[in-house]
Amino acid sequence: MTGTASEQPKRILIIDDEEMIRESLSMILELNGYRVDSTGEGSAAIEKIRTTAYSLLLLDLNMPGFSGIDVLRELNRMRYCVPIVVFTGFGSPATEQTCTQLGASAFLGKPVPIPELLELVRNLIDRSD
Amino acid sequence: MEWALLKSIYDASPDAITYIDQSGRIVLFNRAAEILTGYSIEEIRMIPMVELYPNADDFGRIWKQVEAEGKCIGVETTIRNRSSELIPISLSVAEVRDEEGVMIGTVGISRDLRTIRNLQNQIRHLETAATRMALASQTAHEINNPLEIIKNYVYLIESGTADPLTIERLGIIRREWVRIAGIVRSLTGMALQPILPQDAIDVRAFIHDYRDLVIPWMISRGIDLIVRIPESLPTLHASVEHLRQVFLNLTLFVVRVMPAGGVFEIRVEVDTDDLIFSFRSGCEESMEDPHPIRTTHPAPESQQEIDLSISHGLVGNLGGALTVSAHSSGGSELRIRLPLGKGE
Repeated sequence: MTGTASEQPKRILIIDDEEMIRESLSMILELNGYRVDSTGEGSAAIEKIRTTAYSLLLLDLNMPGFSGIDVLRELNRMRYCVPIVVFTGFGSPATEQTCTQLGASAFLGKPVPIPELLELVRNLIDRSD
Repeated sequence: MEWALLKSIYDASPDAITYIDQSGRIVLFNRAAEILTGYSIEEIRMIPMVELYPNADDFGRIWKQVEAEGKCIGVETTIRNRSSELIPISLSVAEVRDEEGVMIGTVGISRDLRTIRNLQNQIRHLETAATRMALASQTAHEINNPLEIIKNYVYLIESGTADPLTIERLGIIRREWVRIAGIVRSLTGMALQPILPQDAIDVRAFIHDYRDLVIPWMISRGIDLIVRIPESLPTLHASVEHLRQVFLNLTLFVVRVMPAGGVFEIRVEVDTDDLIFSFRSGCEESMEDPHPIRTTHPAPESQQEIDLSISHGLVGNLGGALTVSAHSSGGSELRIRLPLGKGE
């Protein structure tokens, strides 16, 4: 499993304004061998991304202030090429299209089944390595 | 000279102009009147005027007002044209008097309201769709986020236990959240919009078409529409229909907040990979209230909020952002930033 071998664990950033989602997802990903950071604000996420090398981002769309779309747009400007998984409580096909155009690797609707999420995360990180 | 000027206005007017003498004979009936009614002047002279009005009460009310006050301005009514089509019009009628003050006839000016009515219907449709979308989005968000939390903790508990009874009970919880998630998806699915087609939009041509569409409306509201577009613009890849809806929605918003007229300016700029459309509105009178939109008679807050909320949704679906601010020269500025999209 990615992140569980002797190599350095892959580092993932969770960006979601719901504290309990950040907390629970962090625990699940850590249980599966990843190192996890999290933040509830889009602008803070950009700061973390500038200073830390992540293998993957898990990004919520619907956040107050600097939204998930704003984060994607900023990353697009930065030519950031790490896989980004967008997950949202409500996503229309038009929103999915926008996210994909802005560089999202995958678009998932909440609640995301954990096995599906873990497999996606593993595949995306493997592909980008 | 005076007659030549009046004749030019009469011939060029997009509004129907009719002059009826005191005996009730139609003396003047311009080209716009022929287009509006479908009758030539010779034909219209053969038809009693009241027959043009499907609602005889309207006809009687208008003429009573003219008799009592000497005029009526901008009365909305309906006429029936040659093809029996009902056409909403705005009608103004005034008595014409000679130098001694003797009434010698009446002049009527009729404006075809079909374009405005169509725009209003489109906006109403948009409002309904956007409200449904906003409600669905909020509902889904409010339910799916707690479900996400429940599901994550079920997984964490499952990962830490080997007790068969606990695992069985967690399985029941999992089945139920899957069921709730399915219900939410089917309830909100109806509100989802289809994937928008990506058109290659020539922005200059788009703005010119838009201007041609709304300028009669702006003029009738005393609003000067100014458009500033650079000579050269990259192609915008987006749904042209959706972009048109955004423009019409913001136009409705501007018209609502400028009841006393004023200046409405649209600017287009390029910023790296984005196009920026600025809609600036203003009026002569200054306001101390730092409300984002200046107006002498503000529209109800709730209506402004609905208009802006719809515009936010529409722009968001185009992958862009809408901001509202006051600008230095007074008035306010609605700014749309849209990504140029693929191909650029």
